[in-house]
Amino acid sequence: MISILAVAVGRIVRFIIRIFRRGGGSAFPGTVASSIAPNLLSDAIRSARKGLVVVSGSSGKSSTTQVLVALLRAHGYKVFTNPSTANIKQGLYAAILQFGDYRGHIDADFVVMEWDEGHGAALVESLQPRLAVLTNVYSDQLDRFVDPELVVEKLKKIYDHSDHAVINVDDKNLTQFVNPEKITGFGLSPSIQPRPSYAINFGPEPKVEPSVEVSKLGERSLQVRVPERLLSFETKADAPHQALNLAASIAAVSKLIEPDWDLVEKTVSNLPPVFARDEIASVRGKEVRFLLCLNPTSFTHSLSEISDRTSPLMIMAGSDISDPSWLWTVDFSKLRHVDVVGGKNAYDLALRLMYQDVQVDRIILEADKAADAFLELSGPSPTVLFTADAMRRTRRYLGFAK
Amino acid sequence: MIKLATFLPTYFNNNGDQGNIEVLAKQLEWRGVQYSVTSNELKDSDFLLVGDGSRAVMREFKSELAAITDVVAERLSSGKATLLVGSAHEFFCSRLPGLPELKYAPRVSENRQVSSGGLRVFGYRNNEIDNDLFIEQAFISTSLFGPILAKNENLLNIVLTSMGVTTELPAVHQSRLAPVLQGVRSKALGS
Repeated sequence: MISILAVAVGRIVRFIIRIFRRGGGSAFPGTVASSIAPNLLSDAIRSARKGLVVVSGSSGKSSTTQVLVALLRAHGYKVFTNPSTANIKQGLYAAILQFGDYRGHIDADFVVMEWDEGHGAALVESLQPRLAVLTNVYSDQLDRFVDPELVVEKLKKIYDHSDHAVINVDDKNLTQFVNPEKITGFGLSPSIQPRPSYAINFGPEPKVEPSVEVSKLGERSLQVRVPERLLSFETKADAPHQALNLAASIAAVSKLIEPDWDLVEKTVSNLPPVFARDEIASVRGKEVRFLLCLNPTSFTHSLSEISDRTSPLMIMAGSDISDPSWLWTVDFSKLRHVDVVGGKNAYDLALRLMYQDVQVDRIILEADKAADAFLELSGPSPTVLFTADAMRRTRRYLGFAK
Repeated sequence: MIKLATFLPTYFNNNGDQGNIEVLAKQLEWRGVQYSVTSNELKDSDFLLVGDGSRAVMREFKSELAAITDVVAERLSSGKATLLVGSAHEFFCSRLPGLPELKYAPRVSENRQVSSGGLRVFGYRNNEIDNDLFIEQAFISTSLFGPILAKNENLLNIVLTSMGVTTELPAVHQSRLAPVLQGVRSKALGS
């Protein structure tokens, strides 16, 4: 009864919010629902027939979750998942409001959830995942997590309370705390360079062999070795850190079901890009390339994807960056100029660019005005690099969000 | 030739603190002043940066930090241009007489404006150290992370003057930077 009330009230709140904030997601309805029925989330997850799978770590959560969900669905399973922008506790409740029935129950075989590291550690004791996929530990979001060692503690807690774990065995921040018998490992072949820059760790490097290994990276293609065979994929996500996300998904699906490997190859190769993760979208008659930059690693990778002649170019630093200091760990020196610098932290980004002798034409804080100014510019390769908050605001303004 | 020194820059760069070296290097370049950057010859440098390190880094390089205590002490006594940030600020405040006794408070993660000796400085604090800023001539020790010299012209000028730089920043750079600095300050302090 209390769940029915929580779902009803949460949905009314959600309806009202969406009247005034069209296209905008909000975790507030989830906050309301969870305060009325704290067990709403655990009850919903228990209603899934094959249990809960969680994906957590500093980076790669959304991509790994997206591929894993697609692979399970391709094999005929019903999967409930949360939108990537709703990976904190309130967002998970909001997802139940959006996709569950009137009691908050969900019709699914698997629940596959992307978990923020901090919120996941707080939830895991009560939810007891069947499988935890742990991607990596970066020196990231220090304003929230203070030190990478505290992120390791949170991921270890998720690991401890999960039945089994899929682990990036290239990251010793993770392998240092696992029992090899409780994990399925994934990683890169030793020949693949450059390796991702995980959080600095001077401790031992336990040798854990990967069951799933990225064996070769090519131009728009990659190969992954699983115990049964070698898999080949056509994909734009061909950077080492992106290939690891794919390997994580494959390791997870191999632990959950008996995969049809031909179907796995076909499904991955046909996956559409997640919005803004190197997606080309048609906007006001222009083919615009969108690259999401969540942290120094993905910023650096996105910069490697464009040339110094990319034009017009807009880079946006949104309000999701509490302390823009980390922008100074990104090397922008390959750029000659940026047409528009946008987002709530635009001035900090512009300051960084100027100290690398990058010419900045315009600085516009508001995402809508920045988008308008950018779209008025002509040039052969309109490209936008933005952080998550700037991406959401721009996406909403350009009508990509429902 | 001005010598800019930085201690183990790969590791002591937790929050982009090495940006301060980039700021000084670019300011000197724009002014046409010759400079070099070193991470080996700390003792006789015109400027020394010891940035913030993670917990793992502080454990690993504790003895290396302790080994430069005399160098830092000498710079403190002579007021030579120095910038200690975050965990380095904490490390040396707990060892060097003349630096403030450490005070701790619940962790603060926010932009804040602080003052020392009449000088107002703003930056981002993300720790429990309640001694935000210490300045003695051009010796600066602070819990404010990141490119603090980029954001605070007054602090930058103290360092440049201490290094004997008298050349003015060319107007073209002044006019480019001024509105951006104003925007950074307004966003950080909400004014």
